[in-house]
Amino acid sequence: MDIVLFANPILLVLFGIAIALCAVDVFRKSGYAFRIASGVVFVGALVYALLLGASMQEVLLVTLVMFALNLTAFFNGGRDK
Amino acid sequence: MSFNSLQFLIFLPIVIVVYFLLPHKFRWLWLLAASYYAYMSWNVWLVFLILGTTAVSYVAGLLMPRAKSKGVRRLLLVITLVVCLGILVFFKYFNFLLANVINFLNLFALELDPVMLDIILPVGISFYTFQTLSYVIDVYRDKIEPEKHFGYFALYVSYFPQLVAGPIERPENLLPQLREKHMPNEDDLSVGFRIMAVGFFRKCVVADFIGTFVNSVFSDVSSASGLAVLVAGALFCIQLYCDFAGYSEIAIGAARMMGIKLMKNFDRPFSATSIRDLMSRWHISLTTWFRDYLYIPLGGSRKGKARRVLNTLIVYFLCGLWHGANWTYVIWGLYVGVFVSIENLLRKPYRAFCEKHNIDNSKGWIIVLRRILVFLFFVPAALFFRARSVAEIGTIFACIFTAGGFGTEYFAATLSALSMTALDILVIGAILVCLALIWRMSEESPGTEFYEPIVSESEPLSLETKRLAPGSLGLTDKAESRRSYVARVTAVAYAVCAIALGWLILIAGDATSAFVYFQF
Repeated sequence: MDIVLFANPILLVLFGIAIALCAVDVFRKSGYAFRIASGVVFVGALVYALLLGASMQEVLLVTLVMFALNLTAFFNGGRDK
Repeated sequence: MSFNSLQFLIFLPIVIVVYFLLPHKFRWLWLLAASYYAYMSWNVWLVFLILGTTAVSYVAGLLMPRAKSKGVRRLLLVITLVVCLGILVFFKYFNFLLANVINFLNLFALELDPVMLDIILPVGISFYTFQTLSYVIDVYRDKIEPEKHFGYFALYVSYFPQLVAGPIERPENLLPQLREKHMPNEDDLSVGFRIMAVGFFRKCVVADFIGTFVNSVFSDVSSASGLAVLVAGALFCIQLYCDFAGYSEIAIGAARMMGIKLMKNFDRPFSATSIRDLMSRWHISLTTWFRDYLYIPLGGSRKGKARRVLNTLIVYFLCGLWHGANWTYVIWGLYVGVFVSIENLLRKPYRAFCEKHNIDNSKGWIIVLRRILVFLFFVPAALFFRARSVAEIGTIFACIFTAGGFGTEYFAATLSALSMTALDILVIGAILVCLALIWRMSEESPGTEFYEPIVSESEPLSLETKRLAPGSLGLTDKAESRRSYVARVTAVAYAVCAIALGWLILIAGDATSAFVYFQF
């Protein structure tokens, strides 16, 4: 099976950075700059993945991972009003 | 006009903006026009059908309180029931009844040719008919005053968010809200938007994505392995729930943005620890309708065990038939009814058994075990529901019991039947994690976080929400507020992205994305 995400180290690093930045914000509550930076890196990585020919399922997978991570913020003391 | 269409995404904001811009006395007219427009987008001529049902029940509601005797009131009720249910039976069940009569007569070697009339099934007829009947019956019972304004009543019957697939609203909940003057406020708009986002996520990302694997197995079930059929059944449980709950949430969210609170239709059914519990959490508006207007009038559980079992089976038989003109739905209904009856009969012996052996039913592992058992019960029910004919039910269960196996080849054949790759398995895993988190969010703040359920005498629910006190994270109020705002926006942004991707995957696969419950 030809999965572009796992075959390209740059994509893995970019998505890893996006997830890590988001995780720092979620679990250490260090302000929203990390989360915004995570979003920017994620969007950049997403566009790059699509340009490399990643399938919609691959892109959906990483989007769901980011979504799940953001949802955990609501249980981790980062509840919104 | 389906919710997951571009037309609806343009239609809804226009309706909401104009609704709030108009003076209050004209708002009902705008909503009524929008609701009829939405309904006519399915088929222009069917609007006369809903108008007819509306007119008959409106007149009956006005005449009943003026009737001098109870006999006349009852006659009016019967006439309304005959007309409204007659329309429903004709459009939905005529061909089914005709086919069964012909099949029955052919048993006597009459050799009659099958006859089918070209009858369109009006979208939402089961839903708005039941909604209308609940109004008429409640007026008959003097539970509510009749609505004198035809416009508000017509809007109650045809209110577009819930017209085609529920929730089946009660007049005492919806009518007063339609009359009330609602002002645009941040709470309604943001909560409504979030509920809709969750609904679209369930529909576009979960239900449609999982549906491709279910359809792959059911397109040729006879050649699928037993494991593939079971997995498809389990996936169909999730698809059906997310499809229907997603629709309900979109409807509830759209109404909430206008300040109107519709009733809850699903309450985390896979948290159920018994079959009765499951049915009280699944399609709540329909099960409570049958409870209030059929089960209790039949005597409910007040006339002995045997009568209770009979009443339960009658209710579930009709509940199954309500879902569609096919014996598969009847089998589904009776299957559920039998298990509910067994559970009712065994409840006291089970409690006695637990007390005798000091079994604490609130222990974590027992709750998990019971939830698993309920899910395992639900899978065959879903297979009955999904089958297109009784013969297919036979094929399905023959596959389960005869097409078993083990080993890498067998598992590879199973994945092939499901048209599932390893990547799809990872995506399904991620989807289930997201669903679990959304589930957990609704558990932590029942009702208020997404929507406030109707607090009725029979369903008292807590409306408290746990709110994090500002400053409890060591941040100032302003920083906390900014932080939580960014958190909300990013979560919604990822949800929207996931929804768009789910929609694109469906389009790319040339699959259709109708709501499963539109066929009812």
